[in-house]
Amino acid sequence: MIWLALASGLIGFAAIWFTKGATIPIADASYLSLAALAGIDSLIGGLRAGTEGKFRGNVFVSGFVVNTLLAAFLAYLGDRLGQNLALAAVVALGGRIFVNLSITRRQWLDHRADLSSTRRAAQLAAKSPQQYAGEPTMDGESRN
Amino acid sequence: MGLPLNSPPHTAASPSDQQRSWAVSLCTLCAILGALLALSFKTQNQIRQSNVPAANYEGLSYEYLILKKKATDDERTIGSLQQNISDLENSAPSQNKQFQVLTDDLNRAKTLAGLTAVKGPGVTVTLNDSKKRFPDAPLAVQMITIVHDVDINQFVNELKAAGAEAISVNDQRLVANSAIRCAGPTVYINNTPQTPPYVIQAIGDAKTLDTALRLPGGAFDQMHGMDATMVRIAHAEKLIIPAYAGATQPRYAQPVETNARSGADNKN
Repeated sequence: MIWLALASGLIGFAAIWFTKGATIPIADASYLSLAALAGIDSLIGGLRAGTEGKFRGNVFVSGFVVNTLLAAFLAYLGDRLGQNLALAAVVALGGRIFVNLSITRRQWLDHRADLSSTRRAAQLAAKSPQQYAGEPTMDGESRN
Repeated sequence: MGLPLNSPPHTAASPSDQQRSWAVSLCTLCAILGALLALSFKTQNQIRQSNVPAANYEGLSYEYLILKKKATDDERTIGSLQQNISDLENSAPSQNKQFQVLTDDLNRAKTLAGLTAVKGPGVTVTLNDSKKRFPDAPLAVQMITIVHDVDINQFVNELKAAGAEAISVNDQRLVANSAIRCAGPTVYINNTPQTPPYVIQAIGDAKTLDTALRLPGGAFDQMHGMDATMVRIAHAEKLIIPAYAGATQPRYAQPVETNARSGADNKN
């Protein structure tokens, strides 16, 4: 599924990359970069929610759209106000990307550890069913 | 957003449903994100390729050197073109009396305007920053030990008032629209940066010019009182003052066509 997402991302990328006329004015480039960063942040937020089992499609989609537009708009507003609001957006989004990635990584590692301990418990149970039948303390085993 | 396409009514309880909806949204948004990134990369590439000067000083100083070189070349071009003009002007008339009068008139006007190099007696005024240092003195006093644009302007003004017919500062001919202006550590004269010593050459009656400069309370008096080494006046039997080297083609000012104007013999 990861590969499916990556493939669709690549398709979107290629669609724009190889279209000749698809460019925007250089003056708006910084807003676009920020929008892209917000998109990456939303994607990683979705990834985290997915590994936590709390993923909700509508939250994800609306978050993606709103955050992307909001980031670009904030940067634009900052330019108008003479304040570097883009910096605030970059710091917030960048920080969140790191946090979400680290949480996702932990959960993935925990998940793997759980899987392997479950398998081991099943093997042991198959060897000596009378000893391990109904034994619920797999957690204790996984933390050896 | 495409969620109901391949899944029965969504229920949060079923993990496979959840996974599938996750996958569809993820793929859609990944595609959008890919497009955004592609657009962004492309634009950044465009910025890199176009010649927007980078915000680093190396790049800017490099640009500056190129522009400076170009300015020098352009100045040389202007010089040669002006030489061409005067060659053409001189070659054409000579036999015709009327043309001769016009040519003389033109030459006089050009001399007055500073477009020809001139020679003659006059004075040379050399201004230099003082070597003396007054670390304890107030800032105002320390500032006086440096030659400023104002000082040069005062001397030039004094020389003009005393009847100098041609003036140059560091070989920059002063013409009607010449400016002498402070710009950081240098003084811009005719839009070229100049550094001390500033050598003012003026053609005129040397004695008159000298006397006018040395008037009590004048610029020379003040500077000489501060530090005698800052200013030096020398008489010269023969000075050569170069022609104005800048552009002479007006971009905005247009001559007004009226018959009532005096000096209409030089009409164009």
